[in-house]
Amino acid sequence: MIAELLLRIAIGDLERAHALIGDLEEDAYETSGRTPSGTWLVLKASPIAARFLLDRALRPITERPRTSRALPADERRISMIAMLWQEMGNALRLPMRAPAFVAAAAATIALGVGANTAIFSIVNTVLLEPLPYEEASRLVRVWPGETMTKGWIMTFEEAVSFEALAGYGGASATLTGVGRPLELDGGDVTREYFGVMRAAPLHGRTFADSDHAHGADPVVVLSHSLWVRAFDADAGIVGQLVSLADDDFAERRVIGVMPASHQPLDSAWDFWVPVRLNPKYDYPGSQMSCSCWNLIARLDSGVGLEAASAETRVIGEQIHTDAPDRLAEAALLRASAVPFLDDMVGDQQLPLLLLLGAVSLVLLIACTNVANLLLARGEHRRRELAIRAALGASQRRLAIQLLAESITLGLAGGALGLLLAQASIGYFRAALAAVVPRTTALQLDQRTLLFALVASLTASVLFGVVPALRVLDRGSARREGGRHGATRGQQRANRILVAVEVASAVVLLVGASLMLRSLQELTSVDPGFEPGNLVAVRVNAVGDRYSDPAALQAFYEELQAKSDALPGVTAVASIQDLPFGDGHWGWNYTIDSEPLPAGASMPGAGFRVVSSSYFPTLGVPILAGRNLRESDIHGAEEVAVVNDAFARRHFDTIEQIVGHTVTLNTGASFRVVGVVQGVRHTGFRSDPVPEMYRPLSQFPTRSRFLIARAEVNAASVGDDLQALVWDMDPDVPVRDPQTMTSVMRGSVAESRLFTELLGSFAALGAILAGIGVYGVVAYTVSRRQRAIAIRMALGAPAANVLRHTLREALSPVAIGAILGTLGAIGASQLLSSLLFGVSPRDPLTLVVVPVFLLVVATLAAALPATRAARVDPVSTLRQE
Amino acid sequence: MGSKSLGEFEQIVLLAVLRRGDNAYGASVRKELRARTDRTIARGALYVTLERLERKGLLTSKMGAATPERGGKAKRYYGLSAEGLTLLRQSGRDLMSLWQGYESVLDEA
Repeated sequence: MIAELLLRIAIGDLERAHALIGDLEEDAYETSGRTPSGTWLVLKASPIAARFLLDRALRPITERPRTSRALPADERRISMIAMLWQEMGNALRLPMRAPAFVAAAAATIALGVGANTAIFSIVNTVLLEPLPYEEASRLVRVWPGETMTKGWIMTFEEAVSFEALAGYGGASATLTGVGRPLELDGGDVTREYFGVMRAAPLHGRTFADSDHAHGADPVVVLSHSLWVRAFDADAGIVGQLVSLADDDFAERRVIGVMPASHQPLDSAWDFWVPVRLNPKYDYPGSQMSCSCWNLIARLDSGVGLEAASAETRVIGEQIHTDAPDRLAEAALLRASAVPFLDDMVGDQQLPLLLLLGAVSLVLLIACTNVANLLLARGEHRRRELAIRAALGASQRRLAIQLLAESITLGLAGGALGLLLAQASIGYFRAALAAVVPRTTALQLDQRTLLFALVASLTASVLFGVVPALRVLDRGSARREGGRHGATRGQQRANRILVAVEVASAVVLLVGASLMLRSLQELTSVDPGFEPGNLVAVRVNAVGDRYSDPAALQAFYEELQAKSDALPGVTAVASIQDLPFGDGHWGWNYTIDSEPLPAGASMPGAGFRVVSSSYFPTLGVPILAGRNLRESDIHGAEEVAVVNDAFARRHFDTIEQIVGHTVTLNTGASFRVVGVVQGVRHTGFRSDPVPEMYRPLSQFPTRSRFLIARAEVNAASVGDDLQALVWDMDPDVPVRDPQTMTSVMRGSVAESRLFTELLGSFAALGAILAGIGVYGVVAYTVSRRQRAIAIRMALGAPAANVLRHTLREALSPVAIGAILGTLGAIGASQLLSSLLFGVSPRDPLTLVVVPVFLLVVATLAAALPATRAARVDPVSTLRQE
Repeated sequence: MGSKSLGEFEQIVLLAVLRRGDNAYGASVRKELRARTDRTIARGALYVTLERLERKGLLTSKMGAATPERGGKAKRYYGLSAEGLTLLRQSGRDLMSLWQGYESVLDEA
């Protein structure tokens, strides 16, 4: 695309440019047998385009020794491009004439363009680049308002809007026999899955209908990455049994391996297993399975999103009629079919576009700085331009000369910026990979290059146009009589530019400060436990050995005893899902104090299973009743502890709930023996929800998190715990130890990253604006020395001069600060959904930021202003 | 019309177009030149020269039909105009007359 654009501009004929690209593609195909990449085409097309431009520029000299006036309009246009080309050639000598100016201007533009290019490359990779599947634009997430049962997936399979539709859910399994046991995530998918994705296996096959049948042999398809990692890319693995153990099977037969080019729908997936269908329970419309599947579909050709969404709603209503408690009417309101990419990166859209907005403000500030530099130079240039004009150069020719200089400067800065962006891309890839989907593939592609080109050219026009107009305004020059002094028009231009950059900096800083305060608020929320020096490892007692509950219990009891005895450990506890982690269980229940009215749906609450040492270890206070005890074992009375939110839902005072019986919708019931303070298990943002805690000794789970509080070094205790488990049983998978503080940091990683980026851009903008204000004041003072000297010679005191200079310098800053504050009030509304505990119109921020910038500007202006006040009138006037 | 003599490069480009007959387009002319002259021709130089020769009225060109190869892009076919052929013939004759009696020099190369 860029290659064609280049050639088209250079040749001025689309057809010829097209044919030329064809020739290039033919050459490439004949030498390498492949269609060339866009980058290759650009590399080959650029010198050809340059040759054409050069030829064109020289043509007036080599072929047509006539004046441009005699040329028809069309030819005159060409000769204007030729002029621009020539002037750009001249502009290349600029660095020799004014090296400091060129270095400062190019570096400023490089910062602006570099930041923009880097952020655009992220936007491009995450939001714009299509998903790596065939005709990916037709892939949609079908969302009836809730996740679906197997039977409802079958109902949806009959929908007419979709060429194919599949259900998918998460699966986890442990792979043993390949060194250390590997805990893996995978996809549990229905029969059309690979058809929807249009993905073919590298070896073997994908699932057939028979693989989904009840009682079929357990099979698995491996991801390319797992195949390489665990099986050394051995094609012979197809057909073999592997020890991939999950809750249902200890072994599975590998039937296929996907190619490296197939990206799993969830980047964490390492395998796929077939959803199994029991004809007794699983038939179209059946609600007799867990509703834990999402739907992905490929739109039938010619079917639009609207139609697909409408059909999704219709089927959703059917399901709602059959099972109102599993698909509520309120959920149905959200029923729709959305492009899969939007669904995947929808959350990232706002932060990324805001960052793009922020960097474009940085570029605007950079442009105003360069414009100020150019304005200052313009004073020196007048004489040169006057000479050229006297020698016969038309006004238009001079305008082209200035435009050419701006473009050359912009492109040079842009090229440097591109290098900056390229250098920073590795950092961004590392920082974003865990937080923002799709960023592992971050790179500067053709579209990003085009963006950088457009950004550089736009910047050239932005910073070039005001100075060019000023320089060409001959009238004012004549009025000033060619004296060295800033003209009134120029002063006005300077002041406008200063106001613009201060306003932009205020908007940036307000946004960044709000995010920073929000992050502080977020992380200073009390999580409900003491996170210091806590470390957790996930232990998963898989395998036949632990099928017997007594053996499982014995294993974990021994582990608890041995980890209690570890040096440096003060307490150890277990829980099935870590606070601030990903897993959350919940059940619907009834309580004996409140019989459920007929037709009402049961309330739900979080469900956690813990060891009796959990609350003391984490420092969670018991508010009423008693803690769970080691004597609460299987066979003894079934008990639970609830949190205060749960107790308050049913009673005025929390003590009242102790002694009441709770019954889950599964039929299991237990007595409440105590109330604990709420823990924010799901993260800083949400208040503790009603939760119940059952003892692991009565509700044993195979996989648990072991949490230890260390005396000093949590990290080394984590390693000890891992070693301890493997010492007891080397086949039990243990996930890498994590300190609780790092888990909590991870839960706000996205906010933190966004805040850091926005903060750096705001800081960059503020620094550039500070430099800009300093530059303008310093320049104005130096130009106005004579006026100041006259004034002082006439008796003006130094303090007056200082005040006058400062007032003049700071009035555009004040105007900019006010405009910026107004702009920030508008712009911060965009942030409101990302803020926590801070209003987008936070008065403190809206006052402090502009005042801070005023202080910075005053400091920036003070130095040159003091110099102005120290002017020695006699020597200055003598110089004139 | 423009100049009445041909530059050396212009001359060999015209000859290559002539040799390619009905199938003379950018890529094929470049291939012909590479095969016959044993030197690699910069694409830019070739295309600019083709355009210049056409502007001088020595070459004519027309777009061909789109082809499935080359990314579906059509070829631009070149052919010698009457004037081009006359000029080429003239410079060929000049060359040959100059060579006359000195063919042995060629053989020694």
